[in-house]
Amino acid sequence: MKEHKRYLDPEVLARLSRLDLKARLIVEGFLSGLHASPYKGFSQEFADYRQYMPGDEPKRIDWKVFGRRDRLYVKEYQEETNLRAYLLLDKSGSMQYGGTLNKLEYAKYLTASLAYLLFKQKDSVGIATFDTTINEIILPSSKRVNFMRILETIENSRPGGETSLSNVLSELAQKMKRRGLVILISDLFDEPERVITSLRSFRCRKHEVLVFQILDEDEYKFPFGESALFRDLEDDTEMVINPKVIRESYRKKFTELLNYYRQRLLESYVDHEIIFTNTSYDKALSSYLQKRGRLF
Amino acid sequence: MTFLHPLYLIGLSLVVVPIIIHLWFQKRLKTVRFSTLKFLKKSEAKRFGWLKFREILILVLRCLFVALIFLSLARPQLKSRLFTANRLASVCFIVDNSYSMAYGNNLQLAKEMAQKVLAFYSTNAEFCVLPLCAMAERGEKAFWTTKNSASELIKNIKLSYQRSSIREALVQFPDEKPAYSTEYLYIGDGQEINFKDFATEHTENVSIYWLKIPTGGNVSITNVSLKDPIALPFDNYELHVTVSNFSQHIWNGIVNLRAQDYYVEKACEVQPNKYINVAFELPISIHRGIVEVHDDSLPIDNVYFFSKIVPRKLNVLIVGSDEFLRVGLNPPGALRVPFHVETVDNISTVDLRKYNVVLLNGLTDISVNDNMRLTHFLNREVTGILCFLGPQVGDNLKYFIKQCCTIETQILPKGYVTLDWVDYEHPVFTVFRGSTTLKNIKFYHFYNLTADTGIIATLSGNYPLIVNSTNLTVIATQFTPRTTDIMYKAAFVPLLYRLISSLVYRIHDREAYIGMRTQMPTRIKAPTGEYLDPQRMFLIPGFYTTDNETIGVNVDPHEGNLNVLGNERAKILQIHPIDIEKNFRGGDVTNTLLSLALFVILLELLLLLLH
Repeated sequence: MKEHKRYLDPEVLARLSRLDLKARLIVEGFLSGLHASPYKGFSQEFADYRQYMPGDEPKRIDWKVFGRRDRLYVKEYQEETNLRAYLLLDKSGSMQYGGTLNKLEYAKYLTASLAYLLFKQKDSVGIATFDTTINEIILPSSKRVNFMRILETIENSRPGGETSLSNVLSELAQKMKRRGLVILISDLFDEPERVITSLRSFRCRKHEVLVFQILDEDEYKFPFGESALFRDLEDDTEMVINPKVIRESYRKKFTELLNYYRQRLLESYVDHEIIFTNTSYDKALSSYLQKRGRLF
Repeated sequence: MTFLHPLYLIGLSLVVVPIIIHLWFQKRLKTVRFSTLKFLKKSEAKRFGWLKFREILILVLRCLFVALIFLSLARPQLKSRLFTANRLASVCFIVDNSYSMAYGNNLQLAKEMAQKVLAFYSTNAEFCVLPLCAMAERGEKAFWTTKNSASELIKNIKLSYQRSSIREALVQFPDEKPAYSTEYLYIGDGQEINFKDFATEHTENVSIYWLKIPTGGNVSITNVSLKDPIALPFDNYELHVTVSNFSQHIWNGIVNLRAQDYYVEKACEVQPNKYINVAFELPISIHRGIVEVHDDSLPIDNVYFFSKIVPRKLNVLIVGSDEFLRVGLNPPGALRVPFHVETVDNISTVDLRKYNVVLLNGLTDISVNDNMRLTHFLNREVTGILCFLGPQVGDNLKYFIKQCCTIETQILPKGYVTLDWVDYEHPVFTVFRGSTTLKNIKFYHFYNLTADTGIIATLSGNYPLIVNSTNLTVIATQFTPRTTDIMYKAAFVPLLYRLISSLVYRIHDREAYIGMRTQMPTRIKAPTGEYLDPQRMFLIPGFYTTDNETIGVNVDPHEGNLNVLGNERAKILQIHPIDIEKNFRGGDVTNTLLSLALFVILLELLLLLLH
């Protein structure tokens, strides 16, 4: 168990090369820590019996057991839903920021893990990668082939240009005809108002939305020392900045930005989780499962 | 702009050093690839704008500092309107060394200016140096000399108490023809007195430049005079001290008078550009002393040595009818009279040496001998003749009077005529100014006198009544009831007193100014104790004494009045004023540039402290 758990550490995971392996290790490492199966619910796969209680639907009574035991029991099935999950992976330039494990790498592992988790759950899972525009899109399916294509897409994702999150999300919202769970993995470095508006458009189409905001700790703490030439990863603009001078102000503004997202997404019934690249993957996966638990 | 050390201007190329350092530091800067600067730019737009501006400003200031330092080292000189380097000309320096230049350190300033101007000229130029108030005799001519010698001559110029003018100074201009075009440079405070008798004809074909030395405020004693110089005092007389304030500020000070054991002082206040008369009452026994004002920056005119001639008792001889005149001059019962009066019918037998004044009252004629005696009498000091014309005037008398006026026909008007005009500025009439005392005096009988000058009173019809020439005065009529009713008027006695007194006391003081030459044949002892030769001039202020009198010698009060020649007048005289503040003091801008460099550094430090 311990062996599996350690793969939840991003740094350890980074040393592995195969993405499917990584995803599997993350998910299984995560699942091994849970006491009960998270998959209970409606499914065709039998799970357990329990005594009939008033209120249970009579059609769920197993009459064969009644014949053998002369007691009323109802069947419980392992969950198997028709959940359609859309994984939206932001691979804009700003996502390549980070040390040994940059934000995009982290996001890719997280996306793969979620895909694996969904696949294991027999849910339909699709993916869309984007930067300024949508780069690739795979429609949701629960087939293994689809899952492999998703992994391949994630693996091949390279950092792109400038973020145009709001436009991309609006476009994706148009394309997703059937309602489902939209999981956005991005740093949300775009105009906050427009991002919020775009996410609301998902909600308007009855989608459930879960946002993982991937950040590097340095982006929050701004720990740089002496004056340096800062180069924007998205548009290559340069600026000489003395971090000491602007640190306080920067942190204040950044906190305000995060608070703004938190507040406005809460108001829009969008789950929002800030994930730093040095934190374990189980936090993100827990958030997903909680969200799913609330849905079914 | 010119530079004294232009080689330092090469250093201006080092202005690029701060730019290179700036670029090098920029290059050395660690590059941090950051996710996005979008939010930074947006949230800190103003600050980044300011930081960028500050960075550029600091760079500019650094470049400016380097430029200023090297510009300063090059010693920039603002180009003068007139003076350019290595000017070739024949230059005549007229340096004002009159005593008004003792104000502050004006003479020193004038000499410094002259040296500065001298520096502008080429070593091949020729110069002559003329102190405004010559130290040598005026007859000596100046000479063309070299730049170095001219510098020495300028250095040796000393303050002079003499009074002079540019015209007089130019008398010393070298006879030798100048080698180049001549430039005249007058360096001084430009008091109007310096341009006395100066006409445009002196500036024809030449340019006189006037380098203005600024003058400041001054308080001086401009005059010390008897209040009424012909009034005959009994015990005391009144002295008026005129204190003039030529400054722009109110002057409060003390005026004191010292004479023998007598000392008196008075506080006074003089408004800017005004004067006041401070009156001192002195016993008639004191006729010389020193008046001083206290605390002024031009001290030389704060002291005035006065020596006055105070009228005293006179011996008067009335020849002819003494009706009314004797009573008027010596009223019966009067305790103190200023005249000792005697009357005779015939002048031939009288020794005239005893008398100061002879009144010829209605004489028909005099002998030729008397004519000569009277002419001789007039040549003596403190003497005078007052002639009242009677019913007839003989030829000898007419001849004697002719030195004053010519007697024409006798006038018998229908009725009478009255006084038409009197010269109230003449000492005889000053006390009657503003009064009606001389109105409505009737004249029935008088002579038509003809004179070009000296008429001090006329009758209706423009007939001269009183004609005055030196110490001879002719009245067109006798003062008798047949000719006039003046003797019944209140003006009679004072007019008679003043007519007699004005004959005798024509000179009221024994004072002279520095620079004047004495004509006195007697030996004169200077304040230093040395004797002056006749024809020698007074050179220092003080009391100069002869055997029987004292001369108070002062600097000319006009010298201290600081009345500067106006620009309009200078234009008329074709003299070109040059403000030294603009042309010289502001010439060297090194200090300004260094101050600017210091300011730039301070500004940079301030910017570095500002985030």
